[in-house]
Amino acid sequence: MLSGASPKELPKWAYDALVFVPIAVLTTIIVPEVLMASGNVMLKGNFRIIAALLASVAALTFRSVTATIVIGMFSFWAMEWLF
Amino acid sequence: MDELPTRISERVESMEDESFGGVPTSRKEFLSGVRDELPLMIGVAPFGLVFGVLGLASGLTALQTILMSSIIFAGASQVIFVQMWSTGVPAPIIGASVSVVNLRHSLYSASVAPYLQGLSVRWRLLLAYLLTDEAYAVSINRFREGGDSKFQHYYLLGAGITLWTTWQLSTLIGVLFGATVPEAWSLEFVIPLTFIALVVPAIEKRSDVAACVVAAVISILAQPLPWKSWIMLATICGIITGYSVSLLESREVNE
Repeated sequence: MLSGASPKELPKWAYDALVFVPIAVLTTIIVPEVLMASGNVMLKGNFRIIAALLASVAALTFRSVTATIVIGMFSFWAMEWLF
Repeated sequence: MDELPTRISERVESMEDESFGGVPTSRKEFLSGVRDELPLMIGVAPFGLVFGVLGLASGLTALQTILMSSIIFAGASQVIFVQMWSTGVPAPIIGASVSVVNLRHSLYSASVAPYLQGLSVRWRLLLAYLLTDEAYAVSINRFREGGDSKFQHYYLLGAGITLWTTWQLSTLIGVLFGATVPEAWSLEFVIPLTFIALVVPAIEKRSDVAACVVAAVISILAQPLPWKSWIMLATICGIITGYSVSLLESREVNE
């Protein structure tokens, strides 16, 4: 943005590779946070996994950041409260 | 090449464009940006709060924590920074990791640039500073769908300032009062949730799935490596995998 160069002036391969940065970076942050919040991989009884899956469905259905966060958080709290 | 990456942004809902009617002015664009960004603050505010707490917990002073939010101003990068700081990762590695994580901003920047042509360096610097995941998501949507206007950069300004203000305030509150928020609330869970909201809708092609799966697997398998290198490793492997699969995909199309 600062160089004044338009995206067309980036070498094509660099641009095509950059496209995958957000997905790779954000996934890298998400997965350990969900699976390993306690420091070790926890699969059984891990409410975060279920809440994250529900949030993912919400994300695809509503395409809304707000809806995703609200549904994810509330389902997490609901499970903690119920079990 | 006109096919700019739309996935992350196009999929984020922005409120229906209730035109203020008439000619778009800088003020209308600005207020639109603010209005469309506000709903996302539900995720940003707790995120900032949590960061305030994390900052202090990792040994930074209150001032340092608050400054991080203004200087780095990128949630994912800040969280990674303080986690590495608290475990004594050497500075160059912290720098390298944060840089890799920040690379996504280059993509945001590159895809927003065509809509900001002709702006002064001062404008570009300001908007570049304000650019974040959430501000990008709503802005690129408006730029693509909302039609051209002389003042469309004010939209990004509005969205960016909204997020910036919320972020600084919530970091401050987190630093001052965060310790009083019960840990049982697990507010830090909003962090992965925010990113799920941005990433999941963006996954469409096999190359996206490949990048995601590889990053996910390596982020777990590489945990034992020193200095939290799993961050850089998982990210870079994810990028390379995604790019490689995309090359295969385009080769298929051409056959």
